[in-house]
Formats: sequence, C-alpha cells, structure tokens
Amino acid sequence: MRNVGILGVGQTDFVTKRTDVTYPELVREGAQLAFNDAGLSMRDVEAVVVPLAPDALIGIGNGERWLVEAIGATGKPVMRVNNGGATGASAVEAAWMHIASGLFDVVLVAGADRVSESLSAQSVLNKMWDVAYERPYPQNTITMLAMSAMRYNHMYGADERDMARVTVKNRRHASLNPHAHLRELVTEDDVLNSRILSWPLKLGDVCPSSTGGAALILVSEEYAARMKKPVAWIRGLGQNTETFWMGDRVGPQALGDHADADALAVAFERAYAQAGLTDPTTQIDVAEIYAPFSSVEFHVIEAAGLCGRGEAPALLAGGAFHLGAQGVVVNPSGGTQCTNPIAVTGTVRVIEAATQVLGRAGERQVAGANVAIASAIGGDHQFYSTFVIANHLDPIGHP
Amino acid sequence: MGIVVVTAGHQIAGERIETASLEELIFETVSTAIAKAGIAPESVDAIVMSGNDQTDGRIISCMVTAGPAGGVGKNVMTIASGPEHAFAYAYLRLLAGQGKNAVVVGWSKPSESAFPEHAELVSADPFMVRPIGMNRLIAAALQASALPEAERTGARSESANDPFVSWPLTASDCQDHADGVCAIVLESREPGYVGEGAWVRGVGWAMDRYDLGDRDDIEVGGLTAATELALKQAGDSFGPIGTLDAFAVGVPNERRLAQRLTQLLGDDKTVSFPSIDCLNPDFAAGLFAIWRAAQRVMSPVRPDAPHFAAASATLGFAAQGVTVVLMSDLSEV
Repeated sequence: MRNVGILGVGQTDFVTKRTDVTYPELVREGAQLAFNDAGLSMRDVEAVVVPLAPDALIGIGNGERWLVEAIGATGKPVMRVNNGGATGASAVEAAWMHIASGLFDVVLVAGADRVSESLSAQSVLNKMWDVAYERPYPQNTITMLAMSAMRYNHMYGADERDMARVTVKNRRHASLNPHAHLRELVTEDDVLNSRILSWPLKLGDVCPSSTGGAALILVSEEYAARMKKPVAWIRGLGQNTETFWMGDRVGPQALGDHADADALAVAFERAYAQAGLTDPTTQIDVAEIYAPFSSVEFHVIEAAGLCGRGEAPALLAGGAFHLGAQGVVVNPSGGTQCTNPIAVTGTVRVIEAATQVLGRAGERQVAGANVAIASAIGGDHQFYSTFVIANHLDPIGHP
Repeated sequence: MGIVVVTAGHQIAGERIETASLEELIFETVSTAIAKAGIAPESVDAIVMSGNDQTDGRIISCMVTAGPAGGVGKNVMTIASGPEHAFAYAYLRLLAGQGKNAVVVGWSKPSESAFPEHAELVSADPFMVRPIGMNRLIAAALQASALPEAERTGARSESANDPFVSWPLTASDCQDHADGVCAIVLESREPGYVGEGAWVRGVGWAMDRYDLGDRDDIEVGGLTAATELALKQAGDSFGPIGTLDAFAVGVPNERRLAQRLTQLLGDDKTVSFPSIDCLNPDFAAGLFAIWRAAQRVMSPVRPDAPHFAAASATLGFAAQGVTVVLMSDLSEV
C-alpha cells in the first residue's frame, strides 16, 4: 500500500461570525495557510476534495461549485464529500484514496463553514431527520445527545458534574490554542449553573456555532521525499456506519446502545488494524476526538479503547486526559466542544493530530507526541471516521 | 489489478414514481444490483452514494439513505458533487486496494418537490446568480445560445415546431425531470479475468469556473483536462473509441460535448448515443450514461460489439463540471 502523508496544514482563527468574507473567500483563507505551511501553491495541487455538509448552513446548495475560482482550482478534479458532521474527516479519507490509488501525488482538502449564518443551526439540523416521524418531535442534535447523555449516566453512574469536568478540561486546553473559538476558562460550577438546553445538557456542555476555514495537503511518500520536510503520516484510517433510527439503539431488539458508540469502536478497530496499533492504552499519545458536547467525550474515549466502558468519568476526575497528565491527552486543542465549524470540524481534528506529532502545537503541545488518533462523527451519531497519525513509518510499538 | 463494472440495478418507472418512497427505491435498486453481481450483502465492502439534499428535502439526506443502500456496519462515503464523481471515488478506492468491491448509487426523486427548480435556484450563489432566477434549464439555454446558429437550433427533427422553453432550447431539446435510482457494482479483478464486465480503463473529471460570464461555454471548460486525465490512465493501447454515451442538459449542448470529446479521443467514427431518448434522473443521469456505455462493451464479447467505449456527463450550471469514463472489453490494464 502506498504511504500518504500530511505535508501542510492551515486553519483560520474560529469565531462566531465573519462578515468580511464570502464562503469561497473563507475557504481560500484556510487553503492559503496550508500552502504557506507546505511551501506549495495551487499549481502543485493535482486534485481537490471539499468537505461541505450540511450546505444548508451556508445557504447555498453545492457550494463546492462556487469556490472553484477562489482557490484556483479551475480545470482541476474537484469533488465534494458530505457525510454529515464526519464530512471534514471523510474528506481526508477521500483525499487519501486519491493518492493511495497511485493516480495523484498532491491533493488539497479545503473547506469552511459559517454555522452562525443560519441564525438557528438547530432549526436547520432538525431537517436532517425523516419527515414523518422524528422531525416533528422536534428532534435536533441537542435533544438527540441529551438522550444519549441520560442513557450513559444511567448505565455507568456518571452525573452532570462529570460532564462539567470535560468542559473545564477542554476550555483550559482551548485557552492555549489561538485558533479555538471558546477560549475563556470556566469552573465546574459555571457549567452546572449555566442554562439548561435539554436536560442534562446545559449551555456549558455544548459546542459553539463556529465560522472559519481549514485545509490540509496530502502527498505521496515519493513526493514527500522530494520535499525534504517533516511529514505526518496517515498510518491507518477507518470508517463505519450506524443505523439511522434512534429507536434501533434502545430496547431489547437494539442493534447497539445509545449510551455507547459501538459502531465508532469498529471504525477505530479498522484504523488500528491498518496501522498495526495493538494497544491503544499505551501506544497513543494524543487523541483529537470529535465530541461536540461534554457527554459525548466519555463514550468516544471508551470506543477508542483508551479505557474500559464506563471508566472515562472516574479517570478524568482523577486527572487523566489533561495536558501534562500521564498517558494519552484528549483534545489538547480544546476539541469540538470549543470549536465546531461543522463542515471542517473533522478536518481540524486531523490537522491538530498532525500538528501534535510534528511537535508544532505551541503551548498546547503534548510532550513527546509520536502517535495520535483523530475521529469525527456525522449524522445522528451515524457516520464515523477514524485515523491513526504518526511522525514515522516504523512499526507502532510500545513506548 | 484492474477495475471492472460488473453489473447495475436501476429503477426508472417514469417521470413520477408514486408507489415507492425514495428509500424503498434505493433499497430495491441496490439489492437488485448486488444480487445480479452475486455478492451477498455482508460481502459488500463499500457503499458510495450521491444525491442532492435540496431535492431530497433533507439537509443531510445520506443519513436516511445509507441504511437502504446497505451501508449499516460498512464504509459509506457520500460524494455530493455528483454521481459520476461517486463513480470516480469508488474507482480510486478499489485502485487503492481498499476492498474487493464497491457499490455506487445515485438517486433523484424530484416529483416529491412541488418545484424542483427551486432546489436548483438555491444552488446559485446568493449575490449574483440567484437574483436572476437561475436554474439548470436557463443555464443550459445560455450555454446553447453561445453555439453557432446551425448548432443551437433544430437539434431534433420535431423541435422546429416546438415552443421554446428557454431560447434557443425547445421542449424536445430538454431532458425532463425524472425519478430514478442507479446502482453500479464495481469489482477489482486480476488481468485475464474471464467473466461479464466492462473494464474501467480511465476516469477523469474537472471543474470549470463558476461564473458563466467567465467561461467559454461552448468549449465545456473542464473537458480537455478530464479527458487528458482519463487517457493518461488508459494508456496507448486504448482505442479507437467505438461508442460514446454522453449526458448534458439540452440536446445542442450534449451534441457539442460529444463532438468535442470525440475529437479529443481522436476517433471520428465513434457512434454517439444521445441521452434524450432515455429518462435522466438528476443525480443519477451520469451513472446511467456510464452504465449504458459499459453495456456496449460488456464481455463476453459479441462479434458486432465495439471494444472501447466512453461515457461523459456534466454537472452544475451550464456544464461547470465534466467527467469522462473510458471502458473496454479487454483486460489489459
């Protein structure tokens, strides 16, 4: 199999709203940062993959067609990925396929989102459910994940203070990340006293609606050798798909339990198998995992095999997963909970993982990081993308 | 190793299907395709999908279609830029050694929308193009209007008596909206494989500028780049092309596309099959064109059958994007 690496990355600073740029211009900002980082220009790029989903949030269908000139892609192969919230990571997978196929050597992934532009993202997201059954509830991503949080807390004895600890950790990490959207430090009581959105989720538990652009440049091993620059290697990737219906995840006939993320665990297993990663508890230094709400982070940590089911809350309370702690650090960037430009959130996870293993993460750098994982979740916790990223091509072994 | 179009399933019951939901159509189509290919559902390695959220009336349509397409527990990728791009992605995936097979499925059920043109309108940028009321028909008419006069009128014998729907296109120059689903099964095969199938020898795709005013519309800007990319993969042993199945909105535009592609492929004896004689569901039309082309060279070889075929389809306003697929009955790869 042909090795594929990340030669350059770029992300804008993420904010609530940008009125100074259009969507194509925002995509170009991220792309230009990636070009600067890689020492390349659009002339070097052979194909482009655009992450964009849902395009209703930016108010234009098939927005990938609009950005062609802005990024200089006229006459080049351009395709767009839409796997819901997993799109940003799925686009990296699609770009990986371009190069691993042997047909391309340099592929750009470039996208952006402006979630706040819709005025009510949750009203838009309600329209992702089926017309007749779940849409009229009205279901949205907050109510959906509130049910998941209730189920997790019931199954494993966790509570709202456990959830608040996730926010406190991620905000501390985000305060060290100049690109993050929510960077103010908060306390557990701040979170617990914040407004209830859908119990047990409160304002302090949920992600912001973010605006910004992100891009990365993937290259073949042969091209990387010619560039003579450090490269973050994509050692393994996995994808898996869960059922659509909430009702299929509860009750005695359930295919899985809404408390857990079994399908995500399978996606991680696929990535680990490709990477030759055999013990996630000791072989991973950094986890940039997609967890838009505090409650989600627990079952993603567990699905990644970083601890057993139901163990994440107690480990976090004991100091695990923080910057500076022993073992894997979870979301040193502050994660999706502090920055969620939906279309490129998965892209940012991969960018942050690559930045960590290249030792270029500044104040949020995890000391000695060699192996990182990244993940993204799309739909109603339905599409899962996972990656193993390392700064070497040697077998991944025990530290 | 090469990639083979093994078979396909399709559902086109007409311009309006009222007896089945979109999800049911997708399920039936994919089930038929993999059954014809002799692949058990649990042995499908990947599902690659394409649809349009605005037409489907859901903001992330792939959520509800992934299950009917057989995607639960599997690798699902939605390539939303177009079904022929989904085909290209499945081809890349198999070339990358990721699995032995992939199912590509594209769909459209515009009959569930009161005004499908509104879905097209919101695909126009909000500053310049949307305020003038753009849709695919108007864009195609603008493209056709740039053709020499002899090429933009009388595209079909009856069109001279047709009323214009958007000058210079008449009703019989334009493909109607249609409901339908197409699923194509691709497999990776070793050279020398004997069995039914059309070998994919090259796939190219490219995008032109977005703004119509910035383009030379009659030249289909991405066509040269897409063709060069496909030919680079196909190699010197490919051709001459025997048949071409093209899809572009509007007969004059499609005819121009076929002419230019035939020139680029270097064979003036190519028989071109117009899409106007078929139903062309949006977001599946490109797959139907690929499948029609594949069938013309499907082995086992018939004495009168061509050895090489091409398919081409366009997407976006006035063919902003174009894809070229080259296939043969030969196993040389």
